[in-house]
Amino acid sequence: MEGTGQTHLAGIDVVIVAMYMLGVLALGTYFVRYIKTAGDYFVAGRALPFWAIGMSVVVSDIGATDFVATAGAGYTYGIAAANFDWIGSMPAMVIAAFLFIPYYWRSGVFTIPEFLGRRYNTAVQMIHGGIWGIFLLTMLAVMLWLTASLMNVILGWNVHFCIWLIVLLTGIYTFSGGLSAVVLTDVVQLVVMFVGGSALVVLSVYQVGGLGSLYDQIMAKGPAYENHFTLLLPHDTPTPFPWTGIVFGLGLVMATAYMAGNQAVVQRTLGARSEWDAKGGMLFGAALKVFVPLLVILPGLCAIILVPDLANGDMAVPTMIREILPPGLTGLMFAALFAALMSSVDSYLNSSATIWTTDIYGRIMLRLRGTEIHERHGLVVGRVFTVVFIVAAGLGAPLLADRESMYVFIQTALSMFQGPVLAILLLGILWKRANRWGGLAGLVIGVLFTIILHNTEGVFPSEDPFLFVAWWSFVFSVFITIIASLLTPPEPEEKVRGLIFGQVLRDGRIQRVLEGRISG
Amino acid sequence: MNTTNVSSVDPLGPTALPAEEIGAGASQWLSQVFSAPLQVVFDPVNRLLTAMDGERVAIFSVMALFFMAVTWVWVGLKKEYVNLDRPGDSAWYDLRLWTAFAVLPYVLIYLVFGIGRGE
Repeated sequence: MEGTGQTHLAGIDVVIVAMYMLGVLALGTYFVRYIKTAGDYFVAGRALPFWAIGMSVVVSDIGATDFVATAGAGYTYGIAAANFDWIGSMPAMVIAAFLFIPYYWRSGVFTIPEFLGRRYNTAVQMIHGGIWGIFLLTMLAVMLWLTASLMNVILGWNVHFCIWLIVLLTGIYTFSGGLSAVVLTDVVQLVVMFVGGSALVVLSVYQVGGLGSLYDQIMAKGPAYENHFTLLLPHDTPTPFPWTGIVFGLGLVMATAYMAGNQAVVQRTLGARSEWDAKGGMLFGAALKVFVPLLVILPGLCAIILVPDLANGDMAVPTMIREILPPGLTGLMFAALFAALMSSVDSYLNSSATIWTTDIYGRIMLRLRGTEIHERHGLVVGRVFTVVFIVAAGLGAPLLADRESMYVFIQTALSMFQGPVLAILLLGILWKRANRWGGLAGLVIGVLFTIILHNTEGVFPSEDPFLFVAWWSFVFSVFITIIASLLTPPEPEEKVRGLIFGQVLRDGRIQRVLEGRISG
Repeated sequence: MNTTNVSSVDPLGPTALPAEEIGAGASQWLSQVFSAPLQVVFDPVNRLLTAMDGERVAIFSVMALFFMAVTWVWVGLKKEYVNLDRPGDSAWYDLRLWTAFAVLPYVLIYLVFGIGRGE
C-alpha cells in the first residue's frame, strides 16, 4: 500500500478517537467488582442476556483489516465476497443455536475441548485444546501487527505505538473484567463500528448518485464487471467463489465449524443466563450479520466508480477515507476501525486464556495432583495467562514484520482442522455409538487427509480450492469416525447420557440428569 | 466469518522463507504420490458438478439450505425444546419466529442477487 498517501486526523477526530478509547476502558474495568471466581471470569457468571451475546458474536468476527481487505475483495470480485458473511452465517448460526449450543450450555463446560473431553476422552480434548490454544495466541500477535501496519500506512502512526496502545487498553479491561467486560465493551464497539462505518457508506453511495446509479455505472464498465452483483458464480469461475464450494464447503462445513467450533464465538453463549438466551443470542447475531457486508463491501463497490483503476483493491478504503470523509466523520471512522480491532483482540485474548487454563493447565494439574483446580485458583491462573498472552502478543507482533507467510500458514493450518473437528462434534452429539477411538481417529486421520488433499495439485478445478477441501475432509472424517467407532467397544451408557441429541428430545428424565450435573 | 486476506497490508511485503521452500517440496511430493489416485475419485465428481452447474441449481441449493433450517426448527424440533427457559409466553419470545425472521433477509438477498448472472 505504499504510495497511498496518509490521512491526517484533525483535532475533532483525535478527540473522538480518544473519547471512544477512554470510554471503552472505563466500561471494561467497571466489571472488576463482579469477578470472584473462574466462572465469573471465563463465562461471565452465566448472566449474559441474548442481545449482548448476539452483538458480541458479530463484532468479534470483524477485524479492522476486514474493513480494508473485504472492501478490496468487493472492489475486485464484486458482491460474491459477501457470501462469507451471508451464507457464512445462515444456516450455520441456526444449526449452532439449536444443535450445538444447548449441549455445550447444558453440560456446564467452559470450552469446546472440555466438551469433547467429556464426550470422547482427554486425548481428543488436549489435541483440540492445543490446536486452538496455539491458534488463538498466534492470531493475537498477527492481529496486532496487521492493524498497527494498517494505521502506520493510513495515518503514519508509529507501528510500536499502535501495538502497545491496543495491548494496554484491551489488556487492562480483559484482565479486570473477563468475559463480562469483553462482551459489554463489544456491545459498545458494535454500535461505534456501525455508526462510524456508516459514515463512509452513506457518503460514498451519495457521491455515486445512489444505489441504482451505482449498479448502472458498474454494469456499464463492461464484461469484466458483469458478475459484480452476482452472489453465486459458476463452478468453474476463476474467482475463489464457485457456488458449489460456497454451498457445500462454506455454507455447510466451514461456517458451521466456525459458529459451533470456534471458542471465541461459542464462549459468549456459554455465558448466557439461560439456554433461551444462548439460542436467542445466536439468532439475534444472525439477524445482525446480514448488515455487515453493507459496511464492508459497499464502499469497495463505490470505489470502482469514485477511485477507479487502483492497482490493488485493498487500497480502496484508505483512498476513500482520505478523499471523501470530512473532519469529524474521519474520527468516527477510525473509532470504528479501532472498535473492530479491539473487539477481536479482547475476544481472542479471553478465549485463549480460558482454553489454556481449562484444557491445558487444568488437565496437567489433574494429572499431577489428581484433583481439579478450584474456582479461585482458576481465576488467578486465568488472569496470569491473560497478562502473559497480551504482553507476549505485543512483543511477538513485530517479529511478524517479515513473516507474512506465517499468517497465511496459520489460516491454512486452521482451515485443515475445520472439517474433521465438525465431523467429530456432529457425530458426538448425534450418534450415541461414536466413541473415543472414533473421535481420535476422525480427528487425526481426518487432518492428515486434509493436508494431503490441500497440497495435491490438480484435484479440483479452482486454483485455491480451500472450500472443496473443507467439504471433502468433513465427509472423509465422518466416514473414519464411524468405521473406527464400529470396530471398537461402545462408550458406557452413563458416560454419554444426556450428551446425545435424540436422548434429550425423547426423554425428560435425561434432561433432569443433565440439570443435576450442572447444579451438582 | 472472518476470511480476511491482508497480504497487502504488510508494508514490508512478503519474504521468501525456508519454510516456504520446504512446503513447496512437500506439496510436489504429495502431488506425485496422491494426484493419480485422488483424481480417480474426484474427476467424476467434478464432471458431475460441472454438468449440473447452472443458475437454477445454484439458487435451488441455497434456498434448500434456508428452507431446511427453518423447517427443522418448526417441524423437526419440539416447541418445548426450542423455547426452553423462555422468559414469557408472548410470541415475541418464540424462537421459532425469530428463526423465520432471521432467515428471511438472507432469502431475499439471494433471490435478488443470487440470480441474474451474466452466463
